[in-house]
Amino acid sequence: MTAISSTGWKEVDCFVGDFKRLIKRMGMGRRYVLLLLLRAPFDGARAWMLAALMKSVFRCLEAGEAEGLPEICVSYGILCALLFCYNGTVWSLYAAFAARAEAALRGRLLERILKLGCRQVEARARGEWMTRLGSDVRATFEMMNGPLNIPHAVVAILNTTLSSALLLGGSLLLAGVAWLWILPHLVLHERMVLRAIPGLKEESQRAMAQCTSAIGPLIEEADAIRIYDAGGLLLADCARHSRSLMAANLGMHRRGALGGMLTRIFGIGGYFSMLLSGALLMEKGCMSFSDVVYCFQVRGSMLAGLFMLIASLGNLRANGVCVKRVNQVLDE
Amino acid sequence: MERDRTEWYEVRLEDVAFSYGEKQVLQNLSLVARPGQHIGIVGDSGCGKSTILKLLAGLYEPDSGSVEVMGKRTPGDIRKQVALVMQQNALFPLSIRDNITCGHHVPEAALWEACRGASLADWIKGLPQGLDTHVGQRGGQVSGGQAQRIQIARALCKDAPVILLDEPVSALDRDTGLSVLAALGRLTAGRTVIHVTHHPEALDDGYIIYRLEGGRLLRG
Repeated sequence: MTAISSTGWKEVDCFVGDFKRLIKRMGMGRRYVLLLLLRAPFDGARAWMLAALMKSVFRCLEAGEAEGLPEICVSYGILCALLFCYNGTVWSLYAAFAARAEAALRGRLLERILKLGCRQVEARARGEWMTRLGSDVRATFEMMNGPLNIPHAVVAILNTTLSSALLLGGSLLLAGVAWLWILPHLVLHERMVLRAIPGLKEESQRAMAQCTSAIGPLIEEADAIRIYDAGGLLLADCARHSRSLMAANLGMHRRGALGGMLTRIFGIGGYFSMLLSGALLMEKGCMSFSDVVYCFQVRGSMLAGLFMLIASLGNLRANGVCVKRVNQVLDE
Repeated sequence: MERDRTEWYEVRLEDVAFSYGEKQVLQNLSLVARPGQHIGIVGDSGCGKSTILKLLAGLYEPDSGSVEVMGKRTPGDIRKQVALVMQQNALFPLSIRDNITCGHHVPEAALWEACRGASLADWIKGLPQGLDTHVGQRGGQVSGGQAQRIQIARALCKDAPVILLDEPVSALDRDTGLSVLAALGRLTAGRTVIHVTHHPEALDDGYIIYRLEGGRLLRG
């Protein structure tokens, strides 16, 4: 995490600050945090259970004690069932909370807009208001409840921390090798992908608002358009705004693709380095095959958590721009 | 702009019926306007005055009967023969230039002539961006009077033989309304005009006035 630059943290701070302000306004902060924390241990616990299962199975096989396998499998099955029951219960509570929160925010926003003076309403184009009420509110809920946003970021941090601790416990050397690939990956991802996202998202939202504004007259001024044969002019205007929107979205997709490429390169690099190091350690008799398998399993879980965190941070930065815009309306 | 106006035919509605779903708005309605004639149609709000204009503009097709403007009968052809100035702000969220030319090629001299005809030229010359000034959403950056003048300049630029006016000054205060009427005078001079309004005082002595009642036109 030290790899994330100070500028990057400032931006993270900024969207976290905006989100905190919004949650506080809605009076749902404590319940939201509690539900997030209740949801968080699931992935970590599942990762630990799977790694422990693999380790126990290979240990049994190495020791030639195959009769112990059914007991291990039954224990694993019971633990999985309990874990999934717990997860289902937490998610159903979470879904009900999310539905209530969405209704509350939309109500609050509409109430605020109705209280605005004419001058404040007219200061923004119609498309801008529609984008703020539609796309921005949707993005806010995406951030709050959607996949690869806050819930997954919390889960990912916990999962990564737990997996890192397990990997350190398994082998200091293999943990070092794994982080040797993870750190440059984080630095490059922050500089080449995450940093550009808020600017691109802001541009995209602005272009979307202009696009929405440009479409309105095609319907409202249909009579004048037909009489004066102005369809070409208005469609050209719409096309111009659509091109800006596409360019902004394309910029985000490009960064996303770049992020995907970095993940593949550093993921495979790390995997081969671990494979080589594991083989050397086994050759020197420092580690058994089951210990190496355990470390690989834990590293996989750690990387899954990290990739989830990276993807969540990208989405959080993009959606954070929309939360900021929602807050602007509530501040007016 | 100069053209032999005697070549123009007339505006003719013959036994026209029109309804919005179940609601019959016009029935057996007939009207003839000869070249250069100014016809005023008065009536209460919602009696169907604007519907007549939309039929004459080729925006609606009648349920029965026929609509003919300058010898044209299909909506697409009819629309080429008319220019419409509406009551509500019908501006596009683009520049003044685009609102007047509607994206068609108009020589700069003809554009300024239209602006002068609509009493817009001095105002536009005083704007930092001149003709390229953006009028805002629904003309929010210009006054009601200027918005109507831009519509008049647009109609002047089209140079259509038939002018349709739908309460063009009713939303304006008295002084602004009078100055817009002066610009309208320049637009309508020598052209066939159909002007609908619920204010008969907006029509001068040159108008042949009809009253729309119960879906039929009555002379008076």
